Amino acid sequence: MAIHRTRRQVLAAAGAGIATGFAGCSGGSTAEESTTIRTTGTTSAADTISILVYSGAGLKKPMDEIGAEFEAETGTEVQYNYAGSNTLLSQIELNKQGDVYMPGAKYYIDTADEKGFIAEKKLVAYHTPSIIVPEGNPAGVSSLSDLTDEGVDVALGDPGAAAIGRLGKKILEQNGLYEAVQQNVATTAGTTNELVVYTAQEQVDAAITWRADVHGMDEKVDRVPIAEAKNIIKTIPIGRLEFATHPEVAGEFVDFVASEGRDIFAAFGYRKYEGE
Amino acid sequence: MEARTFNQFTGVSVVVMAAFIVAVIGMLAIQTTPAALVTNLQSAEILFSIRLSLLTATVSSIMSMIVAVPTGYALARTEFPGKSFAETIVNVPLALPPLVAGVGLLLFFGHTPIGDVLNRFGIEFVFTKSGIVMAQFLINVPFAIRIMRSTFDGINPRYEHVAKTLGYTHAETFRKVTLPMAKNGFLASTAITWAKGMGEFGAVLMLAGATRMKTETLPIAVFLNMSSGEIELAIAAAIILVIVSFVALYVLERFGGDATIY
Repeated sequence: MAIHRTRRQVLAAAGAGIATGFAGCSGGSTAEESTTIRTTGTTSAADTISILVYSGAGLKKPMDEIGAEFEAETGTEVQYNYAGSNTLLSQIELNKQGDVYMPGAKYYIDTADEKGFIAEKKLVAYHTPSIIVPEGNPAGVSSLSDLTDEGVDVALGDPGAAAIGRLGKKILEQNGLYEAVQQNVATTAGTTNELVVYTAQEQVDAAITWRADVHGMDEKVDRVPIAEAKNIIKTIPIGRLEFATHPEVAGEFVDFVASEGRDIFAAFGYRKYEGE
Repeated sequence: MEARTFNQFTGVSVVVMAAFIVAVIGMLAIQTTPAALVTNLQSAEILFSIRLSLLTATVSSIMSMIVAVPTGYALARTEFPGKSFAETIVNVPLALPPLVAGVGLLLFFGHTPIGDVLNRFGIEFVFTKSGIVMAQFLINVPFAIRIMRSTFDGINPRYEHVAKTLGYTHAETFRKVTLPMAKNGFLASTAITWAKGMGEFGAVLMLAGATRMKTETLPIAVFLNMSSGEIELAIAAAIILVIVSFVALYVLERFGGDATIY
């Protein structure tokens, strides 16, 4: 009998150990814990609120600065998840978690809104597509139609992942160049940042990215503006997610980005959005 | 009695771990219905990925074996100055994250004197299908070398001595005695190299890029479709990769002998 009891105890102990082990691992995914992820062990969970912001990868520079200022002003920690706009939307749809979504173009926030993910949305800055070329423009690209020239290696965003991919395809299509440029596409990328890296490293002769992506990179890349009549200019939106764990803090952040944030975006070479 | 309790305890951990692995792989299977899976497997994108993966993994594993047989033999049979150092270097890609090796490859074949010379001869690895083969080759050739080395280590050199005393040349001995005896190791090595080539992601992503219908191998198809929300397409590609893993594991268990993957 005693043996029996020991065996049961051992099994129970093993079971309990495994269960608590898994509970410990999965604890991070509960809403209660994910809002109190701490970068330092010094603050207690109670006094640091942290919000999760899904931001388009191309917006990293201004958003990092905005996040730091918001943290300094409010004490709220801002955690960013940077990826392609549609990649982020897929993640939001899978996880149903997080506080704020900021894609590179309004289309994505409208799509998220239709799916019922967005509680409120605002506009932050204008986002202008541009051709970029390595310093010195080795392939002599001067316009959109030059992207179809023999021997010009082009990099484009993946239409299924990045805002600039979907838009670049649209711009080329409305100018009747899409099929011809396809012949020259050396690679596609899931974020606009990779396109900038490929161009700066001279892995390709030209890419279509956002104008502001190469702000302050004059030594490595040149811009070849797309004629206004041929271009499609977008606005960058920001939205509070329905499942935000701290709706009021997420709302504060959205307001902050759509007010002080606009000036920071302007400082990074974006055209300022002046509307409400 | 105490022993039985102890064995039951250790047995439980095996069962729990096995159940966990089955559950994880099972999750992939229940994300989709058989009908949807069949439809997705016939989509142009997945068919393209299957073909590209089969082609690149086959070419890169043949290349790996061409290098691995003589290299493995040299490491097993000969002594030369700096041998252990050379062996360490050959093993580096095993320890290196493939993603990092991929960045190295991208920079190496980019705008360097070597890259430029190769480009002039029309050999391009950056953003091309050749790049996929190159990435798979660099990552997997150390595995092939390791398995071949341990295979040749396990063959008694006396057979070779006897063959030579009976009049075979070095080359004849290798072809008619050593290689036939190394058959199982050769098979296991080829299977592992091929399966790892099918599954290679990080290095391929960096060197060849993730371009739909151009450099879209099966793992790249999983990645691209997960990031654009086409989960069913991603699952279709993932399930093929699961099957490939099982086949490779079977071949390794059946013919691998003492050869290990790591």
